[in-house]
Amino acid sequence: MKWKSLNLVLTCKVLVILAFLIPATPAKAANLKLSIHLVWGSNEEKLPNSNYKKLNEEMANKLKKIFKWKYYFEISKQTVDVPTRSTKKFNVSKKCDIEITEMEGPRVEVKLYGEGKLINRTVKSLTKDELFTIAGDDKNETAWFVIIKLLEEK
Amino acid sequence: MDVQNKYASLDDEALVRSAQKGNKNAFEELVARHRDKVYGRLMIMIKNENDALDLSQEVWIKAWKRLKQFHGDAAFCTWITRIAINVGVDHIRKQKRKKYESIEDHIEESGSIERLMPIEIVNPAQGLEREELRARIDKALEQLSPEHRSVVILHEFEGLEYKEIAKMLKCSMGTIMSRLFYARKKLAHLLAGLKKERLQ
Amino acid sequence: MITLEQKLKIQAYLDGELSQSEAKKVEFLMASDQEAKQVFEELKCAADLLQNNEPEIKMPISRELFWNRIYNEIQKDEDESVSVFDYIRHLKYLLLNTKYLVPVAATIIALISIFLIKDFAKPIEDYLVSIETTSEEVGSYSFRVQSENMFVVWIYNKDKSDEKNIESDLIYDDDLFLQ
Repeated sequence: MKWKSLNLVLTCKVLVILAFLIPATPAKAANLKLSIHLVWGSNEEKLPNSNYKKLNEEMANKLKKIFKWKYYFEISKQTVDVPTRSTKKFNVSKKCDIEITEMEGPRVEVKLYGEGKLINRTVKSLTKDELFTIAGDDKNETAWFVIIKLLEEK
Repeated sequence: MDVQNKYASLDDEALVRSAQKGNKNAFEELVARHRDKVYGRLMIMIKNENDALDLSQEVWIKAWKRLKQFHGDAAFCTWITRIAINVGVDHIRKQKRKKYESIEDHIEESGSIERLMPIEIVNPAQGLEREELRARIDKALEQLSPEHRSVVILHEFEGLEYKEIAKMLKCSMGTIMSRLFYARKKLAHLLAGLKKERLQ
Repeated sequence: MITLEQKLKIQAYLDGELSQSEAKKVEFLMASDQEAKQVFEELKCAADLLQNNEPEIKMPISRELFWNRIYNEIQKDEDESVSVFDYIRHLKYLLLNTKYLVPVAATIIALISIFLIKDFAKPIEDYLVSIETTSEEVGSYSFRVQSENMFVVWIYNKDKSDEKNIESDLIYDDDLFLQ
């Protein structure tokens, strides 16, 4: 039988490599490091406010492929930490807050508040490079986007 | 009692329970009972006999694999029809991607011509036999684009709300409303035209 | 002449998709405008006609032939999964043979540890999403765009979506998966 010819030396080599690999993996209790972007989408190229700046090209290109707006502006950007199994609230704009709870497993609970009122609650897992976007229409055919990105895989 | 007769006497719920345990005879009876409905839905959507047959097969194989996920929240017939519609919608999308999008397609999509058509009120009860009327409706449906047909099927035959249709077809409620409006207008005109032909 | 937006409102009224106050407005429009009333009649006739006369289409091949096609496919799938069981049987042989017991068991334990530590199960959990819109005035849609690795929760104002003919905000594509 083919399996009978299993090479024991090879198996031992694999085990040795694994023994090195396992301790190399990061500890699981690190804080959750995220970036939160508040973005405004418009069909007008002109900056609506001097405090706004053009959104980085990579993120803007992703949004352009999905949504109808031609131009995307960064209103605010923050890098935040959420300690393990705890909740933190972040002010994104005058009217908007985001509350993030680090949950069991790779999951987070994200609550969106508009003028202090809870609007939406989403529970999902975050993966590095994935953009989790909460968005909606704004006045004059524009739109807002809150984009949450996991910066470091736990 | 032979195998077919034994299962023919059971209701869908009992057949599903048995099929969920791996009983292929019970599943065969479910296929036999609902295969026309599945095929009919796909045929109205796709209007191609061979494709509708292949896709029907795909629907039933998917159903067998996902049978454990069916918890009886809706009737089995509704569940299997939803799978059929999803398979049909995917097929239409793939076909559309292959097809060169012509100006005519664009006009049909926006339905601008039909929106300007005069108002036609068709009286279904007037003079036509039911079977004849069904055949004519089928013929009129054939003249709609697959996207418009899908909205008609989901709204008029499946009784879904705008929101549910938008979710299923992955487009906005506005698009659904205008497609449905355009489709109804066009059908009213086609059927009125057929009636006039008949009277001449 | 009534506008397209009004016509779509009339249709939404016919389909029972309007709020009470919106429905009242449409009823008032139909009572005061002959064309609006006619549009309603036309759409109602077309809708009734379709709902009561769904074409009945029969499959052109026999029950047996169709079942054979399905049965063969199911069987083929099951045969493929049987080969996985064959591997498991081989593994059982290795485990029961004392000569191989220690290295094989150690390999299995090491592999399981790697799976647990490296979060191999994460992609499955990625798809388990719970979304709740807590305000009565707003609704939400959500979808994943695989190609851009983006998950979107789109919040809309229920009142506004009733009033305007919303054309899609999305350049929608085949790889959008609505939740």
